[in-house]
Amino acid sequence: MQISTSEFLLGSMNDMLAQQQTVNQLNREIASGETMLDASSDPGGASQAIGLANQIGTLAYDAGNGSAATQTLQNGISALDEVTTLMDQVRQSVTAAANGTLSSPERQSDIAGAQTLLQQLVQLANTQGANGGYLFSGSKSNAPAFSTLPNGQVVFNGDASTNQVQIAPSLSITSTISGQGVFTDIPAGTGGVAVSASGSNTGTAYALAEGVTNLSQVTAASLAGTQYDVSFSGTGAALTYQVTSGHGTPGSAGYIASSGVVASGGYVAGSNINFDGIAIEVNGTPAVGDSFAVQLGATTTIFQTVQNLIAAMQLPQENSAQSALAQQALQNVLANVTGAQSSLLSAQAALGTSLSEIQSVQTQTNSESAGATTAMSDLQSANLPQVLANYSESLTALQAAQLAFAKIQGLTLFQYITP
Amino acid sequence: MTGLSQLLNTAWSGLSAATQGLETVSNNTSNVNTPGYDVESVQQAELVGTSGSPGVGTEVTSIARGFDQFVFTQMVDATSTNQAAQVAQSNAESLSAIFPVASGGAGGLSASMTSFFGGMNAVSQDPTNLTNRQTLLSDAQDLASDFNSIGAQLASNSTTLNSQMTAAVSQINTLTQQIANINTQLQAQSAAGSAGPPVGLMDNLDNLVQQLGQDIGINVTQGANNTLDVYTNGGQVLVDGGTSANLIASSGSYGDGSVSVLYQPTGQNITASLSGGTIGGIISSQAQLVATQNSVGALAAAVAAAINTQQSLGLDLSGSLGTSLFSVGGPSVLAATSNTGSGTLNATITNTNALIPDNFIVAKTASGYQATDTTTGQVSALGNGPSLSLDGMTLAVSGTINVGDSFEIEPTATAAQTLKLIQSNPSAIAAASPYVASPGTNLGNVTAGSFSAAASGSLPSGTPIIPASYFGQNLTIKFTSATSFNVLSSSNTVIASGSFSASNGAEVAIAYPSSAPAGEVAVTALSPGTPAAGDTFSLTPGGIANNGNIEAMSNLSTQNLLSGATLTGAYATLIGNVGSAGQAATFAASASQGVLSQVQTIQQSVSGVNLDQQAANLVTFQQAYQAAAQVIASAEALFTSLLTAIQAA
Repeated sequence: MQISTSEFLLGSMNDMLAQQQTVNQLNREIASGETMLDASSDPGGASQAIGLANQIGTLAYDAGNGSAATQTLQNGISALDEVTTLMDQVRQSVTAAANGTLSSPERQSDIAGAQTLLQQLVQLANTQGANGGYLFSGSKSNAPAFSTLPNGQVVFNGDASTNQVQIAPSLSITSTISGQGVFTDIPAGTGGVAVSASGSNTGTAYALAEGVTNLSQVTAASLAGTQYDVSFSGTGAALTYQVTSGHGTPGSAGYIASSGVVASGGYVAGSNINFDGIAIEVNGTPAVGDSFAVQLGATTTIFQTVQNLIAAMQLPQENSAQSALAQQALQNVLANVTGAQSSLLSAQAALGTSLSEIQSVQTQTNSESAGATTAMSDLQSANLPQVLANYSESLTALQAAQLAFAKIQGLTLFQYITP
Repeated sequence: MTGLSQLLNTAWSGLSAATQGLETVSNNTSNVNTPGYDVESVQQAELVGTSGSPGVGTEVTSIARGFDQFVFTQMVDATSTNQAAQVAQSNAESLSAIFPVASGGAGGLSASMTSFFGGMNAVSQDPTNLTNRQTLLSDAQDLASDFNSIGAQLASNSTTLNSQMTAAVSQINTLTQQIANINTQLQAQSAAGSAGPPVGLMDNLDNLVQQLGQDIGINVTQGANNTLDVYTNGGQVLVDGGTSANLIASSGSYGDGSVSVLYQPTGQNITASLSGGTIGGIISSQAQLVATQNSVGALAAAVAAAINTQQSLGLDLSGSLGTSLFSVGGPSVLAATSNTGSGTLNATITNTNALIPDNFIVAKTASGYQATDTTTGQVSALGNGPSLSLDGMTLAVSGTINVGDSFEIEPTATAAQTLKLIQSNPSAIAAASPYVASPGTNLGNVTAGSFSAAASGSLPSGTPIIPASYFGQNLTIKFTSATSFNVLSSSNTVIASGSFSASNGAEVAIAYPSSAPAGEVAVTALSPGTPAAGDTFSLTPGGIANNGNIEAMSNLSTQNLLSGATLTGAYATLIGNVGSAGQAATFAASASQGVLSQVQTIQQSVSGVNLDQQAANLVTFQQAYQAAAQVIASAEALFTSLLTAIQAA
């Protein structure tokens, strides 16, 4: 087959151009370190790389969320730590006052101490975060969580809102805590059973809630709004007790004794009186006609508890009956301090759980992110040894093509004939 | 005539033939690089003498050109196909350059989307922080700018394609006129009774036809007198003997963004029937560009719709329901220039998940409206209106539309360019849930969850829905028994009531005002448990530190918002499509280049000039010339010796 001269040269030139294109492509790969220079060089890989980059970015933001949430959570935990310390001091004051060995000046100084504690507690409950927002206000972080009314009552101004933040794909944790349920809404008494003495008691007895012996019975009674009244009759030697159940606050005008007597028997000081799944212990000697109210499902606040302590320490103790009433008030405060401490513990535990979840998920996030980064580098990064080998191969081929062109352009018969 | 004078005549004919041979060699070597030149050769024949005598010399019967009709047709086709592939490839390259993929698309749209949703994380962490909110607005601005810039680049690509198309059409018109002119000259020469075939003109004609093939796919048939008739691949006559037909580049029946090709003699739009050449390459690039524009636009529309909706479901820093962050242009509706009615269609996107990013032609037929997908050709009946529903869009008919009238609907062609951030106040980001539930001093163990937005249709039956008129008030849920509850307004009137199940709990919903999408409610779940009569939950508007709505907004990044894919997923698909089209165009271009080279080699072997061969021919003709001259010299010597002999005698 005849080959035209221009085809001869053109073909050789096209070969050179093709080699140059390869060299140029490899050049760009070496310079950028990436093989995927545009979507058409690897459409599937490009599409995958977009997804991986988004995954890496999202994981980084999630990890950032985790770090920021750690800060918020630690703020909350340290504020609650301080509250716990204060509550330990409250407990000491109660114990000291309940011993009955305090002199009057000592009591006065303890009362002053308790008043300071109350102020510190309100201050801590109004702790502000780094941004100036109140930690325990729920969503209303621009207003202090608690304020003191003119009558001394400390009220909650926030709401129960808590925030969830995402710390890993489809894993969110609670990053904030509301003051409601931590400082307020603490079950009063022991296990939700609160005992109080009638102010008109003349005996020397005080009562303690020992606890709940049948939870479902107590829960049902609580939901039904049932309250109890324990009263004493008989004579000094043969004192008997009688427990009646009803609705409303025992001793108040609204109290309705509906179901009558639920338990009765001979009174033995210091032994338990059991009724409807509840156990109470009465110490000392009640007078005939003395009564104790047993309330279910009542709640109190940390501030109320301290205020109750101050009030209890201010009670006159001039005779044994007054001492018994004071003792009753102090015992109730003690039970409520225990309740507050357990409420603080569970709040701290909840925050701690979030913290540990952040830490454990961080390891996983890191490894996922590393995996995605590796996958992306597999897709996009140039394998330099291989690319360099290809590069030198292509260079050799280009040189060969150039040499061939130089040789054939001298090939013409006209050189040899001399017409 | 025999004898010495015959000897001279015979030698003269050889001398003349050798001269013509040398002239041919000279012409061939001169045209070694002339495009379309076919190598020429002398065709010689012996002049026959009288019987019993030797021949009386030679004659040049014709000058032949190295030409093969079959190879020529192949050459035109291969050129045409290759040109289409090269144009498509270069356009695909410039299209894929708009979407960077290096380092996972760093600096591209996907990176902006990741940052935008990442910015929500910071706001979610601390919704009261204005700096974080400002950063989120900047991220939103970056995202909108990225969409705008991609939209602008695509529009500029479209403009480039249109001007390429216009230039190609005008070149086609010039070439077809030139071809017709040469045809006319060939006919005239034939009529004048010219001796041999006019090889020069024929070479020119072939060359022009081949150039025309570069612009548009054509079929060529041989006419009388060596003329050529030319048709488009679709069968329209471009050149018939001495007459040519013009093409017109026009903006089409609907005046949309892509230039179409009209056939001037009939005024018909023949774009769809054309293939091959620059025009064919442009047409396939136009389709790819429109698909990309629509996909990017759909993404912009989906982002705007999802974010704006979520904004309308939460509370901003001032405690009001949020307003839209983005504005975006709706679907374009283009009426056909031939419409006889004055009615119009108004299209709005109602559901980005059902949206198909193709253009549609909606026409009124005798049996109602009918939509045709211009990409797939799928036809669907839409009924008689006045409100038509089409793949996630609602079309509202207004005015009189006559049977036969039609409209082109481009759902998202301009969305990417028109996406705009319309909020500059960082407080306007609606981060908070509309409500939070706080328990009262309750005896029971029921808890209330955080509020989220839902469609009222998705609620369990029997869920109380508080009318929108109470939205924003402080409300109270109050249990009246273990199995029932009331909802009280801020003035303590019962405005709704519901029943509660110890094992399933209950839900309570508050209808959003009309600024939110219809049917949206804010709902909270009361946990399963045992409530006591008198237990309460107070429902109060979410405060500034609440992050419920911004968390929901951030979660949009993992939800299927666009044709069943996440935003990033849809973008990755788009990249994949652009890449695949680019890859296919590259393969097609290199394959067609290979075919063209092969055909070129064959064509050159038939028609090309080989200088070595010409050198050999040169020597041959030179020697023939020298030999013939020698014969004449010999004849002269013979004459001289004859004359001398006579004088001597």
